[in-house]
Amino acid sequence: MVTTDEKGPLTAKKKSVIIRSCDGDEFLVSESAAVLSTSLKKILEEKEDRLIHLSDIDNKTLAMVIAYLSTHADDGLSDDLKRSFDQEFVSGKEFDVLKYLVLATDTLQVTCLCYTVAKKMADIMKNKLVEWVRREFDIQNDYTPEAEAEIRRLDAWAWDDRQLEDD
Amino acid sequence: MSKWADLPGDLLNVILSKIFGKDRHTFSLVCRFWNAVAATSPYRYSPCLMYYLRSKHMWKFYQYNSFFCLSFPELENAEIRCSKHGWLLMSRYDNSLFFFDPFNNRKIELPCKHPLGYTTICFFHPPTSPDCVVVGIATPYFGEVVVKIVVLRHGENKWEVNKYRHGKRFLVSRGAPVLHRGLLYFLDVKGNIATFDMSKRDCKLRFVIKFRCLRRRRIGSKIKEHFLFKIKGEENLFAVFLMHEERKVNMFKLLEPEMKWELVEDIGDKVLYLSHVSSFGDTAYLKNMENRIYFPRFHGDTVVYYSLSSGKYQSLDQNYNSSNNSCLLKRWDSAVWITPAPTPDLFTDLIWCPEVDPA
Repeated sequence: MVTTDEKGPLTAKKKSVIIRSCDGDEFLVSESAAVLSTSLKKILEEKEDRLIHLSDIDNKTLAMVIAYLSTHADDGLSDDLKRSFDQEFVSGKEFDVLKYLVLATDTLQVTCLCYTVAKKMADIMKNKLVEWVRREFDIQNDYTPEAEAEIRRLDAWAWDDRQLEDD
Repeated sequence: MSKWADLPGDLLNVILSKIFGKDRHTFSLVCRFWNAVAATSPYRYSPCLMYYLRSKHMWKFYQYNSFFCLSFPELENAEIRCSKHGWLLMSRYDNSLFFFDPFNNRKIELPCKHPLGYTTICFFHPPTSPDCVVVGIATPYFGEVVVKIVVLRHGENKWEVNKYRHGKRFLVSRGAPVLHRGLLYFLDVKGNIATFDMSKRDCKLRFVIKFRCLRRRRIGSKIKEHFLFKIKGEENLFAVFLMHEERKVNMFKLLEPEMKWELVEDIGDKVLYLSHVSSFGDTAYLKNMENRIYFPRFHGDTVVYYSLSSGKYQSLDQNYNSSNNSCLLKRWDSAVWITPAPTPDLFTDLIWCPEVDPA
């Protein structure tokens, strides 16, 4: 384990940060990768601390986010390669995995990845029943039966353009 | 309450930008918070521009800032003639007509083919309503100086055919007619107005043409594209004429009863969506959309609008900015602005005329 008060390793790895997941695993990340996350950047600017503890991100999810950050911080890769990496990154992942990724990237403010993941989730949600969405997101149906029936009947998406034609 | 119910509104909007049609309805039904996000989403208040990508056999919908691709095999070889209330009126090469609701995949066949050569075909009420009437207008370029108007009412299987001879040639424009104060209003290619009363049969004043509607008559021959429309909350009818090759925008308000066009330079907080088969105006939902006219034109992948405040055509990404609507822009002349139709009642009758089997 590397700590900040050990002068030697700190100078040697000046450009590195250690990020700890909620289950205690630690990841060594280059600073250039870490600052792609807006919230990590803020933490690094505010304090000298080279160890960042993330209390709400598990190690599996954090490993994925770090893989993403490191790839995007690599100046040797072309934008095209990064784009295809993004595609690969979200493809084939379980809905469950994506859910945790989206929350983690939202917390860490990695906007680009967050949107990529959210879009992938939307693709999976296509043609699903409302019961499926509620179950997968673990969302309580907080409608009263009457309110739900009313929404089913009214359809919030329909435009009222009748006024334009009937007068 | 789980943390998923509290996904930030921004993120839920990203999800909304990828789903369409009935998936959005599902989204609103999930919980009250998701419904609140949907209700205030810009997608909720933006009409879709729908057009056919022949190369891919797909229909593309452009809405707000996103594209959605859908496939409708039943629309192959059919052309959109009019669009209202989320319904399309379409014609096939054999002159048969049908209504199609692309949001709920509903179809209504009309029992009889339209008589050949009608330039303009329109309807005003949803085709499920007994008030629905289909009207066709034809004005031949050569020979007999005549205006033919045909009417097919809901529940009927025969067109009512009317012919009006007139001393002066009136060539109906491609711009969709408008129903206004119970009368059908339509334009000729020089910006003149005709009205037709659909309710009265055998009445001398049923069909009226007004010539010299434009004060500067000479500009009439310079009009390249016509759009006639209503704006929600406004009493008068409006028209936009695109002049010359560069498509200079001229907007007018119809003064009645004198039937003269009065130039309008500003529409305040309104926004217009114009296409040949459907045009309408509404109050802008977003402040930055005010005083704009959206046309079915693209610059790269972004839609082009005309800003009445700057007098210029501009693209959403600001890469295009010109008073000239030039060849740099992709034109989708057959594209149509459409707004989602209400979800159908289960028991809606999808038959135009009960006595006759459309097959």
